[in-house]
Amino acid sequence: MTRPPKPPRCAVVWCAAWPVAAAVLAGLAGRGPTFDPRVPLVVIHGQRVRACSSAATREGVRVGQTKREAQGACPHLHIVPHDPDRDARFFEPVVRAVGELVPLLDVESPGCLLMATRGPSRYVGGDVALAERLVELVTYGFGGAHEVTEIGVGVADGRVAAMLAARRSVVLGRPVVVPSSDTAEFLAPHPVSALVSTVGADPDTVDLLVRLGLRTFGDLARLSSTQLVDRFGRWGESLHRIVTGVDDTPPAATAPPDDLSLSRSFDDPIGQLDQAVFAAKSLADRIVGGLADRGLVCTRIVVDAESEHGERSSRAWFHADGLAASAVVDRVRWQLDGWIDGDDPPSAGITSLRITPTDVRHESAQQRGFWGERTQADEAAERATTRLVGLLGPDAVTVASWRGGRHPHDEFERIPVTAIGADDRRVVSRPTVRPPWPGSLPAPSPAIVHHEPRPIEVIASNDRPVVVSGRGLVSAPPDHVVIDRRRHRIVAWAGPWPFEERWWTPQRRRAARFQLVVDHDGESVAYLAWVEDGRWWIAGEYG
Amino acid sequence: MALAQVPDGVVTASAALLARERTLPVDPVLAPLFGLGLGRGQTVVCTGSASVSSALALLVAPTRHGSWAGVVGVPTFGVVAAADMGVVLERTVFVDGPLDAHGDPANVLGALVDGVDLVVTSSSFLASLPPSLVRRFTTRLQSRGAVCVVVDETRAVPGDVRVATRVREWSGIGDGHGHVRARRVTVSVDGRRQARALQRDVWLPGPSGRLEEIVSSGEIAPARLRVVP
Repeated sequence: MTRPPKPPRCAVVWCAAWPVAAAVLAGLAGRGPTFDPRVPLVVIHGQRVRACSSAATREGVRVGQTKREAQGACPHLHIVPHDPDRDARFFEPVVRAVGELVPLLDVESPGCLLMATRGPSRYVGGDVALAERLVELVTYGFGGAHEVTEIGVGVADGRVAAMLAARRSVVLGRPVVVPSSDTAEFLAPHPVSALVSTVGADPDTVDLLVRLGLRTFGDLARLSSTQLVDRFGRWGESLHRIVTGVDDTPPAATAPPDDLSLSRSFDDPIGQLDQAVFAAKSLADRIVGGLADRGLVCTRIVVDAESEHGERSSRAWFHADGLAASAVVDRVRWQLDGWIDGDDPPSAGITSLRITPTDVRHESAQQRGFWGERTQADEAAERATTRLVGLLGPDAVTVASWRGGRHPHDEFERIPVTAIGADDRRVVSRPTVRPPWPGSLPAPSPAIVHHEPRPIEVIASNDRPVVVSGRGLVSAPPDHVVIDRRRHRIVAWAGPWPFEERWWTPQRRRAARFQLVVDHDGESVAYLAWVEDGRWWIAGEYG
Repeated sequence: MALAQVPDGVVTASAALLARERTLPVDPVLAPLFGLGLGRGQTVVCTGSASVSSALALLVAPTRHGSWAGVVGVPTFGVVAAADMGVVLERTVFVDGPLDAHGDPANVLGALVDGVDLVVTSSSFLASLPPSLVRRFTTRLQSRGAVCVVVDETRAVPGDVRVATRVREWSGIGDGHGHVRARRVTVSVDGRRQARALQRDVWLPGPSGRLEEIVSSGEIAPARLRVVP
């Protein structure tokens, strides 16, 4: 086996509980409700705690808890609305301050900056000096409001180690620099739960690791890569790379190629954010579309804007999952909003805008194993459902949850996605072995289910309607059906399977079910039919 | 030409890898008809009297491998049949209700395509949308690399791949006795990138509710032990 290449050295600047800090900063800047950073604050998104202030942490609130659990732990909790735009806008000054020293840095997410240290370390005289310089720059970037968050700076080999070092730095209150030779030892004591926040691993999988007795990075690193692959597939392989410090997805530190970039100049300088965003949209669509034509997706873009007076804003944005056109537009908006509304706004309108995709990879939904395939797909789906709920209302987007039942239309209920997690509602999977349900018909089940049953007529060979007696006897074998005024011959049939519902209430109903295989222009189609009070209905079709 | 020097039958590793990345997996029973898998960005149109079941069968492998599916404009979607077939319902979202009443259908479809790998819809739903919107949806599908599965009851929707089904026989049900157990269906797959249609007889569904292979005798295959994922 060849030894994998050593991961590049990275520095990470991490602001603890950034969404909360951004909300506090927004309040201080008079751009939102004011929050006191000393009281327990949480940002809730999708009914779960996304970030909590240190006061809330002391009360027992944890990231990932449901809203209800958090309120249980701390009844006087203040809930701050989630706003990704705000998170990005108030991080901008920090990005700009650090950008003075390190021009090529990646905004991993608002609150977290990632950079390759090779150049800057040499410039300031070593990793320790760089870490100290970064702390100064970030504090300066906050401009006196730095007590709203705790700042961590970590330098280590590879992205994950650097991120963990930055977190450790928040706890210790000083920058943490991990020497290259100590990466594995540094990683070993970290709990596997850190995988959730650093690489976006699925919390359930991490739970499973803990139940298997694999509590720390060190426990996992002692297993062979093959053992992890056997149990977790491709994810296991990336997991092994991460815990042993062989993290191979570096922040890009190469110069961007030119041929993929697109720019647009404006004869009339743009003063309004909306206009710039609109222009960005057409650029983003062309770039993302052009890449998609070549089977590529971009994971990192650089956005450059220039004002009429020559002031410039340049920023790199990274997303391992790939940036869709809408995500590119979001980043342009965040950047320009921070620039125009920031401390150092351009003195004139914007005259040019350039978007350069600097990192591209082949498009695949099997996202990089590094990020845990499932989680990224799940997150994309969650984002989409959130948007759909916003467009269509809370009840329009549903997931099927098993509850048991005897009819094809009532074995599963539809739970609105907004309700999941609230009031302890959750999606129930059907047991692997389908439990026998009294009165239900065996598999297969109709693939087409009519919620409004369609009336039909079922006729015997003597041209009289088929009726079912109270004892469940058929008056005559069904010969043909009339559906939408068209006659179809019955090829095969079975039934009746009677059922009673609500026999304890006045609205008691008695009905019987039949399966009818019908000739439709030479092809046989099977129906699930009901007969009730002498009337026939189609409840489903085995389509 | 340099290519001529490569011996026949040699597929470069990168080409094979690329092809796999750009497809969604297909159930092993249908795999011989699809070559490498469901091509991303394509529209698959399912027609014939087992159109819905064949559409469900296409959802099984991708949802098991972590992809999400979004169902829009199919109010009659048989959830139990989907569960029987093996579709992972935890990763299937349903978008219901009249789209026009609340939001712009373009935004709804756009949001859905951004978040899921498979969009399941019906020809009647697509027919209710303006043609320009359908074209934009297709473009978005291609740029996002999602697959659209259309249940086509009208045989009117053009697509990149057509899955036609023809019912051969119903098994288990007689003249007033038994019950529906399995259906023998000829599935044929024809695509723009395919020289000719490939076809195969399968149980769709078999007695377990799943897609099953027909063993040589033509009898229903006895239940086999399955690996529970």
